Amino acid sequence: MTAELRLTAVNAWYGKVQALWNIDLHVRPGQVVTLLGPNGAGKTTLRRAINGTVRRQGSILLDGRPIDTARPHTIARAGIGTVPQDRGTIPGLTVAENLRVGAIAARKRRSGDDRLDEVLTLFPDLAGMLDRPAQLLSGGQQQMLAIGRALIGRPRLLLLDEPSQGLAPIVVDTIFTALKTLATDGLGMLIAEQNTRLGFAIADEVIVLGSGVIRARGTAAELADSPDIQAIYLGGGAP
Amino acid sequence: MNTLMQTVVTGAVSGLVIGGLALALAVVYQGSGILNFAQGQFATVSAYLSWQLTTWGLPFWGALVVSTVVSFLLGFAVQQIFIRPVQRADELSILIVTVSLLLIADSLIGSIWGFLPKSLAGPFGEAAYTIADVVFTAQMLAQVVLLVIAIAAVTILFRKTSIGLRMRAAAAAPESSQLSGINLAATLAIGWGVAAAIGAVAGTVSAPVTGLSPDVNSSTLLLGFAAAALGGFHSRAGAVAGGLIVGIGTALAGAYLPGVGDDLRLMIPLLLIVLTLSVTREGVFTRRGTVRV
Repeated sequence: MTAELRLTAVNAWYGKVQALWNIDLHVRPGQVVTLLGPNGAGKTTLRRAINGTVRRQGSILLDGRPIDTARPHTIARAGIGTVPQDRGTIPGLTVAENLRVGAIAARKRRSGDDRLDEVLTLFPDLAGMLDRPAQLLSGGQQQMLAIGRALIGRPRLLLLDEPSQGLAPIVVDTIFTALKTLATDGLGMLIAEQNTRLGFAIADEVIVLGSGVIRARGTAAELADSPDIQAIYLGGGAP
Repeated sequence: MNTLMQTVVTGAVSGLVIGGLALALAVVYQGSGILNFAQGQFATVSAYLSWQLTTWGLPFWGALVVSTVVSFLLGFAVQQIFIRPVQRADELSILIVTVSLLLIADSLIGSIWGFLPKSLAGPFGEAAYTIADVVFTAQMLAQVVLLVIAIAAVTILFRKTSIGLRMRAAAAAPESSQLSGINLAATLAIGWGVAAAIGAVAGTVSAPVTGLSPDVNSSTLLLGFAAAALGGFHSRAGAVAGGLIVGIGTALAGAYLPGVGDDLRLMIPLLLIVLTLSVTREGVFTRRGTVRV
């Protein structure tokens, strides 16, 4: 059910400005890969290159099938679920409607009944507010909704862009506990994260981006022991 | 005869036509962020199409249905061919494209059907009913019923169907919608198709009264813009309500304001647009956005 993602020599541009150079990246089925790096390192651009929402060049394979020329909605329907930066919940739509939008990605794959129950088990907070407009939710609830919407599309791989951004520590704990549950259940994830502690804690493999290129990669343990990496790219934060 | 009530009722009936066009403008604006200056010409093309079909022997109702379906496809195609390539361009470029569409539609109508006015016979005859001193013609009643059905259909489409959910999602958060598997280009084109279909109903049901000429809907479009400005381009219900207000308002002004008469009635919507937009950028009925003070 979970998929493999492989990027080879990927470049990406914002307009005429190149933002990513020669990215090689491999997420094995069920693996959690964390992208670390300061603001402007290219984490979101890399996520968007996979999503197909920036101009990109190079090979991007999902389970061996090229998606590097596919359009964003096709990539979503192929099984890449996304939780964009700043939540990406849809204002004006209720929580239930947001979740129904999420199910669109799964429709073509005939995956039967939707995963509403699973999502509400994972985030019980959402159960009581299905009729509430999404924009009236707190930041944490919106993040839960964004993750729920991605999950209801039955993704085979989940991309998360800064899932901890702007959230209170206790909410971050809830979110990351849920993500660990999903990882334990075998869902592969690529998580862009500025918070190094969280990024290291959940990762099978860590990739450090800086100025649009990959600066380092390895397991959390390998990179945690590398003081240079911390000093230069992680702002010295202790893992 | 109660002249005041008669004026209000007549104004409300034309207000529904204006509201239909304003609704079409709002549907396109919500989805694509574009003011379609050619929206009135879409309705005119549809009305001519209905006329053409009746001359080929189709009854009025059949012509209305066929014309509505064809107009949907036409709206869809126009978005895909002319708007999609410039969708990411700045507002001014898109504005120029829709104004060009308006002018091209004008000359196309003229070259296909000629510039002399034509008349489309409605199936309602001259029947008229007097209720509480106000005269309702069968044409007026049919116009109200058909437009209410069209507006209700659009409301159900947006609120209750999967396509409507996609259109609302795509309008509110285009990128997130794509990442959830919504085909943005197709969804926006469907919005243009729906808008053209509303215009087809509005244009065809009012044609027995207004007659047909290439510029028959240009003043209705101006009134539609006033209605949409008043109701807020983001609000479908506001657009329809705005249409009623503009329809009744211009009818009253034409009948009662000294010196306005039929000739200067169009000043009223223009003043309404200026007034509404100078007080609030988002319209009176809109729920979202902020009011500039």
